[in-house]
Amino acid sequence: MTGDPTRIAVFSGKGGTGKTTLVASLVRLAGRVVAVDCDVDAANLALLVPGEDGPPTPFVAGEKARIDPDACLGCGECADACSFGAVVPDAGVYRVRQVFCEGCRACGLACPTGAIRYEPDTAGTWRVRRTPEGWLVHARLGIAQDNSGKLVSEVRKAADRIAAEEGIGLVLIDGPPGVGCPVHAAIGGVDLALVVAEPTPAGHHDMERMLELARHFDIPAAVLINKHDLSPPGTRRIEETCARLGVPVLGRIPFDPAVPGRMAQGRTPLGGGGEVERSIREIHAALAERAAR
Amino acid sequence: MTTAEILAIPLDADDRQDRMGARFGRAPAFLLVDLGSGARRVVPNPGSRADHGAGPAAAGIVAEEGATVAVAPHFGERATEALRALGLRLAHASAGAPVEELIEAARAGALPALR
Amino acid sequence: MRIAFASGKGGTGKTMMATSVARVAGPGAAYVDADVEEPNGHLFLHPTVERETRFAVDLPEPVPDRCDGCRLCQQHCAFHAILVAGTRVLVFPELCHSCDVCVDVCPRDALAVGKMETGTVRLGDADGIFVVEGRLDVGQARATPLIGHVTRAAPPDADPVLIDCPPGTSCAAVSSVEGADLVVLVTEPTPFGLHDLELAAEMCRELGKPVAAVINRADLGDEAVRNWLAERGIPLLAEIPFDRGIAETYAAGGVVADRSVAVRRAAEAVLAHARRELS
Repeated sequence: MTGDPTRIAVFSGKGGTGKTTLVASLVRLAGRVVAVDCDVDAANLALLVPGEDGPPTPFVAGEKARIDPDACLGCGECADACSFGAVVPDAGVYRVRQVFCEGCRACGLACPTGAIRYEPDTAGTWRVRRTPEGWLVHARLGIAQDNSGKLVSEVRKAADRIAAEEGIGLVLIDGPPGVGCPVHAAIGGVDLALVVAEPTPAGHHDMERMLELARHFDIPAAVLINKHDLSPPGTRRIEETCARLGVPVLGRIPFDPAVPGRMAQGRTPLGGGGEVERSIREIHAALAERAAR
Repeated sequence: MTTAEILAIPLDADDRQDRMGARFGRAPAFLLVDLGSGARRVVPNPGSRADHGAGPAAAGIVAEEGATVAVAPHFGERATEALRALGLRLAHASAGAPVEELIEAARAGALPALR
Repeated sequence: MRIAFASGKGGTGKTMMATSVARVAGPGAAYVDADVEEPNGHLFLHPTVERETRFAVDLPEPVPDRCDGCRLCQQHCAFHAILVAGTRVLVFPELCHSCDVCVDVCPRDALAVGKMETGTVRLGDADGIFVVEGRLDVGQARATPLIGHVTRAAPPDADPVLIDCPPGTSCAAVSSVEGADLVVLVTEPTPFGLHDLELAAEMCRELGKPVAAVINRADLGDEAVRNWLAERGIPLLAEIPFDRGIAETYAAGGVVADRSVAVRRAAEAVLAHARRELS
């Protein structure tokens, strides 16, 4: 068995902090890396990391109830038993609104005629993309699917497998937003949680929640401040919080109106020159140094 | 550990029975070793495919199979709680550790217990 | 009239729009922060909190000395949230979906329906705007019951009710738009914006919700989003150009409609459209 790869996961609390831009840039700078888009509810790292996709792998999770209308008496016992409001009357019989079914089987227990079946649910798909120098694992979760934690585990497993097979030393994880189940699945067992914060009240608040979670999971954390020059006082407050918590600030990326423009064309800030590119290169160097330790 | 013990060892694959796997709850199978008779058998872990709750499910399975000691590199919080409640003891070893060495160590009472 | 503000991804300007529409609608309106994992509408509306309550979901509670170890509850739990050790029932709260199946199947009434707190609901006031906020406790993974609760927690006479949804198309997002009469999709004219817009629009279609769109940072990208909206007949209510002043107002924790004419007009357009379509 080869040594474990270094796993770095990038989080932002909320979306829109430039996290995917940063991850896409780091993917390019790192070269031989397995990148994983764990923001499976709204995966879009693939829009910035070119390459050729392999075939989709279906992601099956959980079960959904289906009522056979021919066997249904229309008694409504199933609807009473459902805690999720998923069973509704429909033309004299009952029907399961698939989006709201959690597969608990309460309706089937209540049904006097055995009219309810449970079927495995295809909750999404994932693919492996061959990029110029490495790999990208990216997924798409279906609508109203709440198994993103499991899908995150599945794509991370695929990434670890590729890293082991190809002898790649770095797995870079683009983390999901929030502090819920998918974030738990994305942060488990990583070597570093990199939190991208913006110097806004909301950004500060989100960063604190994310750092609290990393501490809860006993994962080393570091912070990057994006658009730091939009609010020098906000940046100072973030730095103060980090100093108080003993969390290093690994870098500061300035605001550059050209970056959203490049992104809008599906391009990273790399190759554009300027301060943003320089700061991202510094961050990459700092991470490479950390990984080497 | 006495010879009446039954050791539960997670595997990375059910056809790979010489080394311990990396995870407990999501291990695809467990190797059960009766330290007294030396008898071994592999039991599948259907809970490894669970959406959530693989830890407690796996704990239930190994307990059902008579295991008295679970060994793994790491146990999740819920797996730990479940195994303890089911009366199993927890022991630690590194991922990829050779199964033969684990059995030797268990017989010699040298498997580090997890508190 | 209940308007939800949704998007496939965070950071598109949902909170900016929802708070701005609340401001433009004025006293009597309700702003509901349904983004319970990261609620931050309060940072812009600065409400005075008038009432704070804890929110709880069902959680089975073992009744002492009743279990005979039959394990029917464990076998019936679809979520592996129950384990029977001898005659002791272990409940794993973070795995439980509050379906109560275990309580129903137990032949000895050894499980009762108990409660577990998962978050906080705050009701407040910001210059006459009712502000409702749900906040999931850190470490809690199941947001949907709390979201369902907060979207119904505005006073019955509040109008319009503006629901600031969590991003994405997960169960959390679905729960937050479920009670809305109209969903406003806030997007950007970029390949990312289009990708996320498609997902959010698909969610609304599955739920049978009417949708309309607002394009934020409208001058940055290409025409793909506008063309896509036009092809599908989704009304485009407003376009907000990129403006450093908007970013600064937001960064300072203000309601953007108070400072930006473009955002105020966009908020007015949303209200006018909703009144026209929903009255």
